[in-house]
Amino acid sequence: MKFNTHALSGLNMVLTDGVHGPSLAPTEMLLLNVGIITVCYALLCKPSLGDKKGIITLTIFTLVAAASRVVLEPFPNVQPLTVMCLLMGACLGARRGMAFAVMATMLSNIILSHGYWTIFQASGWAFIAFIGSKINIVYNNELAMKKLIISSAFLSVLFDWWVSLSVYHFGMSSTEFLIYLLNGIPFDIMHAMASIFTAVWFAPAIVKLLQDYSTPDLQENSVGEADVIIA
Amino acid sequence: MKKIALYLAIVILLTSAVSASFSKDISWEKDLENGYITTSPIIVDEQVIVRTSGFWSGNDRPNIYSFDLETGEENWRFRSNTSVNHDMSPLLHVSSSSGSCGSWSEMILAGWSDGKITALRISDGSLIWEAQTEVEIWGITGSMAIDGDHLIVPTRSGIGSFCLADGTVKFHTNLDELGWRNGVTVDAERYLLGNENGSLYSITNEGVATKLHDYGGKIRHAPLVTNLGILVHVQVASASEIYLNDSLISTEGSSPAIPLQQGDDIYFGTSSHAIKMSCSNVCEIVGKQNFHTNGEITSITYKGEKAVSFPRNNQDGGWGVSTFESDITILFSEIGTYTTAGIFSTEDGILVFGNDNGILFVHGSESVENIEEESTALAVVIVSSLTIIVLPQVFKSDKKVGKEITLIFIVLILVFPQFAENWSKEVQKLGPESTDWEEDWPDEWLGTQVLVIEFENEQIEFGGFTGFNTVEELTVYVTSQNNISVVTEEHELGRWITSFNGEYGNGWEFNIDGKRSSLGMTSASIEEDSVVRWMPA
Repeated sequence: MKFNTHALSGLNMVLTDGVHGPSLAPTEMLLLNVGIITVCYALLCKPSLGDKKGIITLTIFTLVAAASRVVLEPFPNVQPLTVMCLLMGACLGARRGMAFAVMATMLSNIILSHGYWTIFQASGWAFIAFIGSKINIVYNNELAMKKLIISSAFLSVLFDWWVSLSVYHFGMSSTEFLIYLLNGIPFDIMHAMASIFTAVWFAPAIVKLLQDYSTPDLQENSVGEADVIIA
Repeated sequence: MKKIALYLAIVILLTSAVSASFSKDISWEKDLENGYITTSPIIVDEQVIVRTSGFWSGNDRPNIYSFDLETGEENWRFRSNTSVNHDMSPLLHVSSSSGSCGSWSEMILAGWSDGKITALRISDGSLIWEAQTEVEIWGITGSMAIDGDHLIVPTRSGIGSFCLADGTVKFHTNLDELGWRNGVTVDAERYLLGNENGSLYSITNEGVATKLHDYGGKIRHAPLVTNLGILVHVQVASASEIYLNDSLISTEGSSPAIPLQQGDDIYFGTSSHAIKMSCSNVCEIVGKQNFHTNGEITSITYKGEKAVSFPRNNQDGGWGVSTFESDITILFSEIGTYTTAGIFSTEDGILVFGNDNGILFVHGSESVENIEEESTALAVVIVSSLTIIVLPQVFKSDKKVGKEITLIFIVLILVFPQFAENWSKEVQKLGPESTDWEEDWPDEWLGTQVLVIEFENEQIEFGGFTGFNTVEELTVYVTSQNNISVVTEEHELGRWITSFNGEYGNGWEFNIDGKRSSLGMTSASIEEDSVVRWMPA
């Protein structure tokens, strides 16, 4: 199993390995993948199913987001997806942002490995996308960089703690769980710093890309959209 | 968009290089100074586990060692105080699970030449249970096998089945014929076992034995089950014979090795040849190469490809590696001594092996070594430096802030491994050090002395004590305060407890922090946070 949020102990475990909990059976995993990805794809593209340019743009962006997790996996807890989710929510609204978050998680975990933690990761990033749609990071086509940096750093840590709950279910005492969270603080810092790095360098380009390539259909209701899906 | 695409391409290319450099690149050796290594080491997660073998005298005895895969630092060792002959039964790793006879934690199982079977906790090498089998000069020397929730053991003169949870015997069948390195095979609803008389037995999972064949030589390996029948390589005077059921299909050189089966392909060895046999439609030899091999033949990943390794049992040493599509390749001959233990290999090409000088070697695959010579830190510096140069050219952003953020980010990446490791060590000190802590105990007991007594139908536990120096002091105090009657006996080795509250059984024994003490309760000292657990013997 791969490990991206908190480590238990030891250098090698820090870099690559760890324990999330039991893995799913292949059939369960396949059904989970196909079902959720299909629903999310429809939610991501709707109502612009006839607009090829918009669909292709969103598809490629989702694939790049998923690939970024895989490619950057050797770097401990460097997760550009956190900022991407925030910006997707900010630019295209809660529904599409959350659908994007779930899809990117599901697709990347096909390679990084699935398990109960997938539910926590997908819901965590979906929540970040939802927050992104509510806090006016992009307002009147202007990116509020300071707000983005603060929110991405804060949400990165919050995300890590949420995903850590996936371990809590498996026979841990509250003391052990607290130690587990404390163990993960360097990883939380890393996640927050990586998110700030991503925000500073990539957010303007991502916002521009989403604004340039999203269709009027995709842009409508993008700010303050209220419809929510359950991850 | 073009700039972004260009940047993404550069970053993916560079980070891929860094990614590869994080691959395990491991090479270390350890002189165990403890006899021979005659059976393959194994890798379990991040541990290399190996056993030693020899004829022991004085204070020397064999050990099972665990080392950290990356650093070679010793994690734990288990010493057999009673085994004085060669221990050649391969180690067996069992994952935690449960069955009808109980549940068990992840463990290493070992059979010993003094007839003992030990189940060791993989985390610290502590003894979970042990069982005793018969000894006629030797005890267990062959490979054991798992059948559901039972361990199947080729004992010196028969076969036994032991519950994985606690080592209780399901059956032991005496065949009245001695075995030597005679591994057992678990087939559908039966076990197969050969011996020094050349007899091949089928034993039901209730222990009922039936002799299948009598080959008139020595069977020193676990019989092989193919879709065409049972294959055995029988040692006879100055030669060897390969049988399929009762048909002789080939006569080969002397001193057969322990064969390896991979689907329809079977690999044999003798003092003359390494042999490949295929048993798809008919069992026939499809490859034969000159080689002197008598030990464990194993499957390995070498240079990214699957191959078969043969230990070279002559003074030149090393291992022959072959796919039988080209000449056999000799590896590690520079070690230069007799070898009989097989190479253990991970999927990504980490090789672990030991020789008759008792030296353990761990080696990364050559492909990893040749391709990735830069250190991880150097690769990160290169990638990061390029990132600093490239990013401002591609993206319009606050370049001053961006560069500062980038610098902090790079420093964090560079110091992260050491930082995380040191942090983890400090954090671990905050938790309970006892390995025997139970999660439902109150937090107030953390860091104090705890006493547990496991009766047949209940467990009682007392905690929050401080200041006791020995197991006896704590036990006497707690039992007297809680009206628990204790009966003791005086022995040469000290005072023993024979009963708590009138429960005698076969006596009582104790663990301190999950580990069995080698001292009696009068002498066994405890820490301020120790958990003392009494249980029926």
